[in-house]
Amino acid sequence: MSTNGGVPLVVPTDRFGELTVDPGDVIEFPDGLMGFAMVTRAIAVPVNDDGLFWWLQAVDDPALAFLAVVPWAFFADYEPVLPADVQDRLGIDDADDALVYCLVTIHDDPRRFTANLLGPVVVNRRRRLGRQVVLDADLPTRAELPSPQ
Amino acid sequence: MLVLSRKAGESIVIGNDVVVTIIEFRGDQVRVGVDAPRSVQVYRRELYDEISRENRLAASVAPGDLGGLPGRPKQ
Repeated sequence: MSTNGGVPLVVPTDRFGELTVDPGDVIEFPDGLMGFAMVTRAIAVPVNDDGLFWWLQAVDDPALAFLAVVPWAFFADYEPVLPADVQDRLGIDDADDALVYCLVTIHDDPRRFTANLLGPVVVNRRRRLGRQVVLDADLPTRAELPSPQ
Repeated sequence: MLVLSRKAGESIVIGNDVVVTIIEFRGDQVRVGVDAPRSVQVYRRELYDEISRENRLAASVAPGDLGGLPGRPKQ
């Protein structure tokens, strides 16, 4: 990670050991995540080098990390429309400012993964400010990801 | 649970900055308006519960479970 944001921050995690990150990489969630009001700071940890899947690791709880996907590789038509109050709250003036993560769950079949398209986590990438949003749209909370080839 | 009776057009104030107004009754539905600051998120309960559940499940995945993750689709 980059090192231009000040004193490195050490984040203990259960899954990845101790991570040293730039404070500028921390994403603030002033309102928490739904059902997880205490998750007010997180970092995005890549699952691998293809840039599709990430862990949103809570900075303040080593045990808590959420599997997430950047949706467009799998859902090319996905166009989340952010409510105006969310755009205001996050200071998003331009779609390019927004990072979108959809949380991913795994089901009984270990090759069956689904992504929550209705309630994405949206981050203003410049301000590192995020919020989980419930979209006003008819979208699934369990959209199937394709099985691996 | 506090239970209050209200008529259409009447409101309930929660704290100093949340106002819930009963707008109208339509058959077996009630239309409710909520005025709240942007820091207060307002959800339909069933959506809140459903997304909270998905969040819990997303947090219960272990790195060892990821063998079946799909790669980037071929164009």
